[in-house]
Amino acid sequence: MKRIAAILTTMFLLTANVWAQDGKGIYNKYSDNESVSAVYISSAMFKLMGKVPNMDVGSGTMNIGPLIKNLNSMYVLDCDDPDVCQEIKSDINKYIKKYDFEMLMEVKEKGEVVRIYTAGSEKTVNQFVMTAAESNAITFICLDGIMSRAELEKAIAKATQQME
Amino acid sequence: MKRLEDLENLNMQELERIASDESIIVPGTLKHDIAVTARALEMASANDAGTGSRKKRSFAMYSYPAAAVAILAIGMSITFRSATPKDTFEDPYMAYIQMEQVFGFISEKMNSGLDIANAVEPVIDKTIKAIR
Repeated sequence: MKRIAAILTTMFLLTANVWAQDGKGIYNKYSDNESVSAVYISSAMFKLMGKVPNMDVGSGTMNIGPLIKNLNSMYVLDCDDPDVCQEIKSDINKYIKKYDFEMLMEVKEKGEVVRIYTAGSEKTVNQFVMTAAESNAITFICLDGIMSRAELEKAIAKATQQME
Repeated sequence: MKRLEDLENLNMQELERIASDESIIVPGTLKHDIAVTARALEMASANDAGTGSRKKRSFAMYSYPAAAVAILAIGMSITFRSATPKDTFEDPYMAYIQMEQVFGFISEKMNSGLDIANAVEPVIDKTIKAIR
């Protein structure tokens, strides 16, 4: 009986671990953790947002309407607990390996490592993942949906102009 | 006196002949001994059958809870995975602002990478010229 219980427990942990290996799974696993700040935007909310005309936010106007129209979900996790961060990093690494992501950029500066990954084709991006990790903190951003690569680049470039 | 091996090697005809030979004296306790042996065999076979059913019972006793735990574990895992999270914002305007902040954060990090690359570019150009 003990052997059966041990096998079942292992199976359960393995399946839970395997199924935590996508944006949604990682979000579900850590969003209720006290040391984690979490933001989730659903496809329904994206559709509502798509109907909102260009909003004046900050110093200029940023139109991310065309981009968000086809987004399914956005998951953001921000964690500052070293132990939880290690677990999140491990799950993200498994997720990146599982979905054959391509690394777009890696920046190492002042102890922070920023990595940007995309999965999809030459013209479209199905998944966009960004991680900004320090020794005891991590920010995980995951955009899920069919995005035009050109629109995504344009939105990021617009955001850059606004910041300047 | 015949030995056990000799008796085992006898064929049916010889056995019949010996059985019908009235001159051979049969021991008085033979009938009782056969009955005791037969009863002992019956008890032994009953005991074996009992052990088998106990084994079956113990397997059934453990297999059903094990199957229930397995189903529960798989169910919980599926629920865990497929549970759709609740929207953080109810107001699309707030969600939009959050999206802009996220894109701002992404572009800030990308910019820092591009700045480093731009700063290194003249050095790379110089190196290439020197090599040529």
